[in-house]
Amino acid sequence: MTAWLGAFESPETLVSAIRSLRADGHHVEAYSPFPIDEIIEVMDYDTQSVAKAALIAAAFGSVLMLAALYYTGVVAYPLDVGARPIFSLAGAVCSTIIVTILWAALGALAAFLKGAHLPRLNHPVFEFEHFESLHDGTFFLEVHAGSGLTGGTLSKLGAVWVRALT
Amino acid sequence: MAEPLRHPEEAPIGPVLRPPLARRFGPWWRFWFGLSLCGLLLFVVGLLIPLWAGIGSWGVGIPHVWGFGIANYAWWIGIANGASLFAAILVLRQHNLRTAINRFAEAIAVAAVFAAALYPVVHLGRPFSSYWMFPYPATTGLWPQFLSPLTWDFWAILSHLLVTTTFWYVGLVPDLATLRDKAKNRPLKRFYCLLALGWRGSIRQWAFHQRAHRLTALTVIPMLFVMQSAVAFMFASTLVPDWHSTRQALTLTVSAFESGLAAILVMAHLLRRGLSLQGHIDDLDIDLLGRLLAANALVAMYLFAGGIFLGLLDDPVAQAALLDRLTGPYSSLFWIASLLTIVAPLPLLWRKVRHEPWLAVAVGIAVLAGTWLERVSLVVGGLPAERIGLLRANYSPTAAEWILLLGSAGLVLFFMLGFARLLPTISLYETRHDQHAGRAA
Repeated sequence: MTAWLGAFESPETLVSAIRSLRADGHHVEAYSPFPIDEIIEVMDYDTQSVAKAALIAAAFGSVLMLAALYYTGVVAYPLDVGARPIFSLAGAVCSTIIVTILWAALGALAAFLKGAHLPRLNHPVFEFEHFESLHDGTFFLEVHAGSGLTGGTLSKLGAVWVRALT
Repeated sequence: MAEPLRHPEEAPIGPVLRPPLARRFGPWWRFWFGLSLCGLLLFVVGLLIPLWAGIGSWGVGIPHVWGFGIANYAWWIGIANGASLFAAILVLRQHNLRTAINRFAEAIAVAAVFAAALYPVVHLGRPFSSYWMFPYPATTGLWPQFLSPLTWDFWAILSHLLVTTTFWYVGLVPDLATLRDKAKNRPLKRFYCLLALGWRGSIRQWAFHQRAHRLTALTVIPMLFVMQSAVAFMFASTLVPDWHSTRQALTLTVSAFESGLAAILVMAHLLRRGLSLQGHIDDLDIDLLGRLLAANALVAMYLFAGGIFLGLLDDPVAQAALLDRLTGPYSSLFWIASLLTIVAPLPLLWRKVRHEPWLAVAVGIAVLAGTWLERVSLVVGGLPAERIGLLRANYSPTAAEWILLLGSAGLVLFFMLGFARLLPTISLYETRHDQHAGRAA
């Protein structure tokens, strides 16, 4: 056995259980059918990486696009159309801004998938047959076993039932 | 005085889950789906005609090198822009309306981008060579000419498609997990399982999800302004006086937003009635949508008056171009478009009209028709032949162009019906979130 999984009927009980277990130094993970701002705040995950990834991807994408426009237009295939300049920022600005936005969105998507550990189609909680009741309003709390923690601890904290996860 | 509108206490999510999980669906859905398949067939025929017979099968030619193809492209892109901008603003503001509207507004945007995307490709005349627009090291040593507006179209459509789909998909992932766990049909369960990527609803996932959803919404907002400004910029890069207007970008943006809102309003009424979602798309949501469309029409009215006023004060060439739009051979398109986009939505200022589904749907369809005529008027009416001394004064679309337009509408209908059947039309997790917040309050 590596962890305990407790089911809670209300988000309020879940929040107080998380606070209590974290105060005792336990590593916990909660499962909820919708985002609960209070729990997200308590768990304090560093999600800045999503914004950073979007920003870095946008900067990289814009430089790459401008460089590609310059290389293809000036170095690889210069085309003189009625003595117009072979490279013009005014002509490059549309594609560059649009592609910058694309890179920002894809950067955010990649950071989301990495931060949320997705895709991962197998996980011990999926083996637990009642986990699907998450979508009917049940909340779950997963606590790593050890440090004297037993299933009874979760029951005392308000879990309506507790199972061992292997 | 009329009773103030309120959101209903708590609507069950059963009606939202029913369509994706039901084994069989209603006869009306099957009827419309059959119709959309006919539309899809028309779309294929519309694509094959110019592919087989060449671009000469369209009514375009000198001087009207841009005709239905570009007007329809700009119209569909406008609907997509408007719908996704609206959805993005609602997410960023965490507005109550997002729960009811967002999911299908984003679906409209994705469907409309798909419909728009093929027009410039077919318009190339040699669609099978369209990949030449992508910069790749070819053995011929040729590279795309990036100063050409044609390549702007390529990047614009590609980016719009990917950004809109990313925004939609990020919002969908948690709900796909709900469908994965609820579906009884095994192949369908597997389908949702793959799309949900193994979502478990852990707080870590929610924390990253919420941040990413807001960030992708944030990327959609500049996308709309850049896209519509790029369309205006493409027109301005020609030498046609009527297309050389600095206010064109603003006019197109407002018109795009109006067409997106109109599409959302029509869809909201259809879904509400067709899927019995009155508890989710409630009277307050419908009321707000109607008011927004009316407000947008007032902004369009201001731009219309400003455009005429400033145009008449402009230099003689621009003045002549404006007068040509107002009184020239295509002036009827301009005036009907103005009536439909500015005057037709004004009855929505009255509550009775906003809450009468058929009236509101009629106004929405009128606005969509108006914004379409506006694009046709701009593309075709902006270029009367008299000004450049050519004999061919009249452009008229051929059957092949009409078939492609009807076909693209069939494609959007097909996509939206498939969406309504396979995915939750209302955001499940946001509904739960708002219900929880309501209980806590």
